[in-house]
Amino acid sequence: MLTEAPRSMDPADQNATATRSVLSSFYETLVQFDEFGHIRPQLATDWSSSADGLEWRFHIRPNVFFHDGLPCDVDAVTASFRRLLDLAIPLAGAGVSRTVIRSVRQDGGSIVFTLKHPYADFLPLLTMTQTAVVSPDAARNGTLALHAVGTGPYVFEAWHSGDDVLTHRNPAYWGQAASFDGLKWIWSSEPSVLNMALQTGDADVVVPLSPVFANLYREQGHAAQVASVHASPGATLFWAALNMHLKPLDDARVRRALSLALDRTALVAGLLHGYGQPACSALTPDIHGALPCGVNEAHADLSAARALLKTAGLENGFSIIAVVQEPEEPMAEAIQAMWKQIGVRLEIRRQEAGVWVQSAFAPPDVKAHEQTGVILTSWSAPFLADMQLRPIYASASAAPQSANLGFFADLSLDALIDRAAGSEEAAQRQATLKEIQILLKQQVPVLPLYVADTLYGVRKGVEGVSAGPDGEILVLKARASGSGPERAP
Amino acid sequence: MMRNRFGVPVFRRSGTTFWLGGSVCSFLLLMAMLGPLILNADPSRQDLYHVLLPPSFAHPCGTDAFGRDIFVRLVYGLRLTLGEITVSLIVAAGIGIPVGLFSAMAPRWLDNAIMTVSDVLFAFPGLILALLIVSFLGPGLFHALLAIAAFSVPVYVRLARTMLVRIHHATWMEALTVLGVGRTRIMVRHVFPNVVTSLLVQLTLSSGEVVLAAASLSFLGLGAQPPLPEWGTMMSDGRNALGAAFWPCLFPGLAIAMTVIGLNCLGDGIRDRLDGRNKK
Repeated sequence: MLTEAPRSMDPADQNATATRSVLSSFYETLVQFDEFGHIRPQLATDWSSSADGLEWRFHIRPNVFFHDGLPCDVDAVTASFRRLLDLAIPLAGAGVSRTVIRSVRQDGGSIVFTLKHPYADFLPLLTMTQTAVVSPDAARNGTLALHAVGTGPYVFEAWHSGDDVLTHRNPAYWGQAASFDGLKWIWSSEPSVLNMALQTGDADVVVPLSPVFANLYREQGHAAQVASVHASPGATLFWAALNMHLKPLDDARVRRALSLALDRTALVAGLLHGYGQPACSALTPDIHGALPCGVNEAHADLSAARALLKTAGLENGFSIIAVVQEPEEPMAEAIQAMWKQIGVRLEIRRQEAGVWVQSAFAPPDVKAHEQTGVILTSWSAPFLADMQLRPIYASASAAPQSANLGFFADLSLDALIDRAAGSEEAAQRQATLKEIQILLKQQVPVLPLYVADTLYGVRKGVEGVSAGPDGEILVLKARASGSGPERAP
Repeated sequence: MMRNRFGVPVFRRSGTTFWLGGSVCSFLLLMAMLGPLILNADPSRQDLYHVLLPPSFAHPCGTDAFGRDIFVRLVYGLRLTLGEITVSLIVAAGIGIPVGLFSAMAPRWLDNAIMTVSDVLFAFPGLILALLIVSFLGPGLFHALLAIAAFSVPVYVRLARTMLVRIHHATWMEALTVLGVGRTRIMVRHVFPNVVTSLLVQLTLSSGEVVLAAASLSFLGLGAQPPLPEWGTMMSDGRNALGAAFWPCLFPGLAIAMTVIGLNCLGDGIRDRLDGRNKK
């Protein structure tokens, strides 16, 4: 059971964690991470790259078939990637691939990618569900958005809008066959409903489980007898973008003061019930080279914050407006109380998902008209340093193009991001990443808040469920233990 | 004790409801006036290290998801609730009564037109109309109160019109005029007592509806915005912890229920007491 309905059955046309959880049972990518975070083959059997890192060659696994019976050969894989890169087709999840990959061609029994520039995270990029291989027939017919056709261990059966997505086992799967006859995906936006569904057995797996309920499953009682809760380190960064075009947020001293007034440890304690860690840097802990919080950095320093505001001529504080979606509203309310202590009055505008997207990704003039100063949201790109930096901080990513929601523009930072992305040598890359993080700590275009753990609950009788660092639930290896239920999650 | 003609004791419902409603409303009024002075606390003060603490001596109603004391928020929220009632009813009655009186004295075609508009507004379920208005004006407590007032206006239009028409054609009115009683004396001694009874009853009963409607809109995120301690908002916040902590939902819910029951009892009681047909 998930917290939201899938947004599409087309892997290239979505960017939502819940949707990825559902789609990962239907689709597969060329390569994939194993449980230790290492890249392993999936639809590709092996690969190699040119010396300059611009050309990548993959051999495709033989005897793999799509759910519609077509062979998943090099022709089909090439067609799938050509569709992903085709600028004429609007696909919400194709942005990164289109920035990195110049072209794709087939060469004998293999597929060859030519990149626009050397990209150290190319293999991790190919693990993303957005790059999953789709059936050429379904893509041509335009039915993918509603009817998934991939090569995965489960076959799409039906999507009852508002109710569920039904699947059944793929009898012709090339790998180890799925344990369950089928999976049924259901969803609810109410955290308490997810908790109740887990306790009553309406769901065998729920993700994400609200931290409020985690302790119920750790104490003696009904909940602990019927299900268990698991926490795995997450890579979802919660952050607040500051509008650099709006006074007084255009002043770096004011932005630093806002950061200093935040008690990130308290945010983790209160909002996550301890299931997470404070974030003081632009990169999440899964990235090699991510800077941890310094001494006292995760706690508020109100006197330093007030002093900075005073030097900026704002000792009486000021008012700003934050836009936020309902799930992130508690974060805004906690920040509102923290900033109140330094005289900053935060007005919270809670918005529906669609309205929020319009506000958050609005261009500078619209944000100025609506007086939007702060945008609260989250971002997840596990193991991909470039994907955690470029969309949020690069000047070319300024909204509405991408997720640089506060319009931060610094040419030296752009150069550093490019240098880190092209750097194959680990030590050099980490040095560049450190330089980037220090620059961002001085400029504070964004306030990193915390990284939340992935919490999920599993009914007794189900084994083998795991979660990715971005909160994606992995049920492909799930199996019933003893007299467990037949259908999960 | 009163007994009927067979000697069986008679329970005077009007007396009980009046005193029950009166006591509850007086208590709430007293709490709203004195509570914040006695508590002298900040209802928005958070303590993220002590969230969702169960009710205890230190926190009689427990703490919410931000570690705020729920009792303190309820007491401060009471002022907000009374403010909601006052603003909504002043706006609704302030528009509705003059329009109703005007309609009663207006030419027939205009009277019909006003009554038709009023009927159309009546046909909409109140909360749906309020949702429509708030979604147009934007979320916020003041907008929510305007929306609530808007769906209450037709009630006052109809009430004022009916009262004036009834009085105008009453035989006692003719008798007073024939006896040569002055217009001012008729208005003060005879018309006003007839009008004020119905008006008072309607205002009290509407107060309960206002509390419910304001709480509903705030529950949906369209009314009071954080960190205001509005009871509906408090319930909405609390529902995310239902199953692990009942108190963030229960106590604001009880407060709303107590206020609405108190106001309805008072309204019923006033009606029973002032209605001439109930007088012995």
